[in-house]
Amino acid sequence: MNRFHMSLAVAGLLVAVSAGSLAAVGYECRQFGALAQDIGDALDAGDTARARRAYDRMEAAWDGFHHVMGLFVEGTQLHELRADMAGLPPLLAEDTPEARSALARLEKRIEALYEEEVPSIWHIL
Amino acid sequence: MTIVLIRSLILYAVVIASVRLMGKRQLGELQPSELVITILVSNIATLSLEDTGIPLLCGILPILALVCCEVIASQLSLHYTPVRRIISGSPKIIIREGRPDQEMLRALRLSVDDLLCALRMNGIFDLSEVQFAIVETNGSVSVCRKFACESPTRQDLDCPRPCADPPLLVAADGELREHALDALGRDRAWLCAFLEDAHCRLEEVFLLTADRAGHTQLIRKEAVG
Repeated sequence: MNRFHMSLAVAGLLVAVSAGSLAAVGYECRQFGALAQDIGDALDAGDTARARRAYDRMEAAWDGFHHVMGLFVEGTQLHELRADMAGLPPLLAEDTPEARSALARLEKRIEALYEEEVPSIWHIL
Repeated sequence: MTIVLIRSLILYAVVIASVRLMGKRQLGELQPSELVITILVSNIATLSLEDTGIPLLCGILPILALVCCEVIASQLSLHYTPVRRIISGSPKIIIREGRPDQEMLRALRLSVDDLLCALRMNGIFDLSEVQFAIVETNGSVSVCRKFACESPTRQDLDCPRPCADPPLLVAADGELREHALDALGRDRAWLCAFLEDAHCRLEEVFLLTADRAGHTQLIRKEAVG
């Protein structure tokens, strides 16, 4: 196998890794976003205990999410998301505008993590 | 700190593998595209080393992508002249039949001082000695002297060298180089006989060279202390 063929193979591998990273980031963000959505649904239903349980599930899922996302996404973005998550539990004791606002911020950050990875012309430029 | 150390080792391996993938062409005179790749690769590797917040994959992926592009582009330029012209440019003649091409010098933004400097670096101090001078695609200047100013060669003087092949290193630091023996058409028996004549054991050899004509040079190890 000469250098040219090796380069073609590596280039193919890089394309596969890029596509795989996009798929992995998309999957993780959807899963994690769904957990945040559960908290929102519980708050909508006025069930703060369920919201707290949904948060606990989110907390339990964090390690797996962080391990995968840490491979592809800058650490500072994940730290910001983690900081937003840490501020959520005290606000979940009751359905307040502050709790809604913190949850919305968390959901937007998760969405942004995926959107920034999408190779759209605006992100490329 | 441990993370930085591990990342450094991984990036070192990736950069070495990348340079190897680019091949020996990369290690000599740099073509324009190769210069760009070298600068970019070193910069990307530095960024990934300094900032542990950046995923290592985000450092490795662009390095490998750039190197692959370089190898593929150089392969294409090898087969297709127009691609070669676009990527590497073409050599430009700046002195033709002893006369500097002023228009070309202006186009290349080369001053007379630059031209004379390039000639001096080729060992020529008199412009009138030059028949042709060419700026190569890697920026170096190749010079062809006028026939009358050329030094005579051994062939001109009818003085051929008895053995054209250079001597090979047969043994160094007490170790035999089998491939050198093969290349010379000799075998271990010849070496043993030679060392016996020289009253020297293989372990005592610091350097032993030989050529096809049978010329040898033996240097023994010096006693330590």
